[in-house]
Order: sequence, then structure tokens, then C-alpha cells
Amino acid sequence: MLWAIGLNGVLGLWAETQWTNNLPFFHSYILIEALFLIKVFSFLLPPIISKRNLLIVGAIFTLFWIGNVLFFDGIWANPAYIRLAETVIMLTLATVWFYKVMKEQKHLSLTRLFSFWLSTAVLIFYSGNLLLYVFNNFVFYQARHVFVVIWGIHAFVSIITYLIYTIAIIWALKNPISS
Amino acid sequence: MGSEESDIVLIFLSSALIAVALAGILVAFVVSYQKRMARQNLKLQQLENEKQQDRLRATIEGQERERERLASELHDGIGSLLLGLKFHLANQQRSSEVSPEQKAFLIEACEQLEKGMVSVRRLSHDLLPATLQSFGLIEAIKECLEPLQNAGVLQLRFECSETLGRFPSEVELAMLRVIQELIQNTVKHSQATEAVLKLNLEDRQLLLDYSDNGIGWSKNDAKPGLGLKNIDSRVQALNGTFEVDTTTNGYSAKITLNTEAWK
Repeated sequence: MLWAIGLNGVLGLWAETQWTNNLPFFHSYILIEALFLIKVFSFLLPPIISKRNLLIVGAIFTLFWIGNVLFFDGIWANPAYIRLAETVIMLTLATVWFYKVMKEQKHLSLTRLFSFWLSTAVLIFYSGNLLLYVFNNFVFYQARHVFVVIWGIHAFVSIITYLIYTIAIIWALKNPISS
Repeated sequence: MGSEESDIVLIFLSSALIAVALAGILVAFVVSYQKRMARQNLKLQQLENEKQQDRLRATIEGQERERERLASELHDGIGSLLLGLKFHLANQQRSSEVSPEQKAFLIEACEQLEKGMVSVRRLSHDLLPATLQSFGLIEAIKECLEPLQNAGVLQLRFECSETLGRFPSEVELAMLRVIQELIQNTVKHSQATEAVLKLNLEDRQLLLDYSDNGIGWSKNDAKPGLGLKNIDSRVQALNGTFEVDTTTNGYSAKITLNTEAWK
């Protein structure tokens, strides 16, 4: 899946040089990213949420994505609805992970876990961008300099998120089993 | 940028900051809650361990008191009865009215009584070793090993450091019982011909190393018997560690007690 995300990104950049609109690759990126994160959380959330239930969530999201592409936003438009749906799902999954950790009280040092940093990154990214995704279409039609500033906030939140992802990967490499 | 546009940017910026701050607060809360619960659980675990040790100590003290009572009953009660009976039979033996066959019977009865009295004295002594109280652990161990060495059942080598000294009575008694149990296991189960017992004081730790050249014991073979459980209980009650090495040939055990805990 990581390779798929990488390939999708490369194709998206290439498409931008060929055509003015490379939003289809953004649509596909959202689907791959969401399914990837759901897959990761399916290892972290049981028994609070079973793997089967997360599989169902992934399937429903995929169907919604297909419906959004065909009937709502369309493949060439900004994927506002699907991004919002993804945000709600991810915020729920990250919050459930924190709830699970508080309930189980199994780990002495949370900050040494890959899953802690992953959930923190997901929580910060999607909560920081929540208003942007809710009013995505509104922002889309603002003046260019407003658009740039608002998406600049998104970029800043993304940088923080990827720094936290890096910490998550470091702990995953250090403690592969206990994470 | 017009004022309306500035307002829009401000709303998005502040919402992003507030959302990220709230997420950060949630994460910090979870981490601190987790640490607090972990500390509490550790405290509870420590209290539980202390309670268990107290329970073990109480059980062991009860056992020792019972042994003391039995030793006293054996020595003062049954021992005295047997001695009285022996005197009575000896008197009968000296009587002129007794036939030669009856005299022979009485002599044999006195000999059996004498053996019984020796057994009772030995049993009483094993239950309450007077040497331990009077002369300490080293002398009590030597006294314990002597009959086995004399009988040739087991070649026992005992090594201890010169500076061992005396320890609290409950520690000495527990260590003596542990050694008795280890030797008993060797004699009963291990088919060993040699055993080595080392008792040393190093870095404020009392170390007991015991090993024999018998068939050993594997954790896979059977559940530990009552003897090993007793050893474990006694060592736990003294806040020590009991390790059994099943990887080498024969049986070896190591007991470590921290002497600082007795001050």
C-alpha cells in the first residue's frame, strides 16, 4: 500500500505537468491512504473494535468513494465529501485507540509505542484540518491569496504530522512486537 | 487582503490551532493518566507482595511453633514415658521371680525401648534443633550433615566463609530448613553420590549454592513437590530469590538473601 501511495504521488506530479487538473490522483490517494490507515488500526484496536468491523468500515468507505466519484463530487472535482468522511473515520479510530489504552492500562510508557505516535499524528492532522475539509468547497472559491494562506495552514499541520510519523516509525523499528 | 478575507483566514487559522491544541491536551492527559495508573498499580502490586510475604511468614511461624510444641511433647512426654517404662522393665528384669525366658524377653524389650528413646530424641532434635539456637547456623549445618557423612550415603562437602557470623534467628532457622530439604531431595530422589553446599557472604548478600551429581530435575518432568514449594515459601518470606539450574547435569540451586533487609 505504501508503494501504491508513492506511485500515486509520482503519477499525480507527472499528471500536473501534462494537464491542468490532476485531481483524479488526489481521489485515489485519499482512498489508498484511508484503507492503509484502517488496515493499520485493525492491528491496534481489537478487541475494542474487531478486525471484521474495521473491514466493514473499509468496505463502506470504498463504496462511498465510488459513489462520490460517480455521482457526487466527480473524479475531476475537489473531493470534499470523501475527505470529510475520511476525517470523521480517522478521528474516531484515533480516539478509540486512546480510549483503549486508558482502559487496558497495559503499557508503562506510552511514548515508546509506535501506535501512540501514529494515533497522535492522525489526531493532530485530521483535527487540525477538520474545518478546512468541512468548508473545502467554500475555500476553493476564495481569492487565490486567501486560498494559499489557508492551504498553507494545512501544509504546516502536515509537516507536524509527518514529523510525528517519523517518530512513530523510529519506535516501530526499535520495538517491533510491543508496538 | 480585505477585512473579510482576513477574518476568513483568522477563523481557519484559529480553528486549526485550537483543534491541534485540544488534540495535544487530550494526548497529554492520556499519557499522564496512564503514568499515574501505572504508578498506582505498581504500589498495589508492592502492597500485595508485602501482604503475601507477611502471610508466608505467619504460616512458617505457625509451622515452627507447632514443631516446637511437638518437639517438647516428644521429649518431655513420650520420651519420659518410655524412660519410665524402661526403668520399670529393668526392675522386673532384676527380680528373682522372673524365669530365664521372661528375663530374655525383658532384656530385648529394654533394648527396643532404648532404640525408641533414641528415635524420639532424634525426632525431637530435628523438630527443634537446639544447636542452632545455641551455636548458630554453621554448627547446626555441620551437625545435620554428620549422620549422612558417617553413614556413607552421600559425600557431602560443606564450604563457608570464615566471616559468616550469626544472623537473625528466623533467617538461621529458615536456611537450616532449606538445607535440610535440599539434602532430603538429593537423598530421596536424585540418586546422587556427591553434593556440595556453599554458604558465603558477598556484598551484603547471603549466598547459598547447592549442587549434586544426581539425575537432576527437569521442569517438564513433574510439578515441583511440597519440599521445593516449602523452600520457595521460606525464601520468599525472607525477600530472597531461589533459582534452580536445570541446564547442567545433576541438580543445583542458588539462594540469595539481602542482609540489608534484616537491619
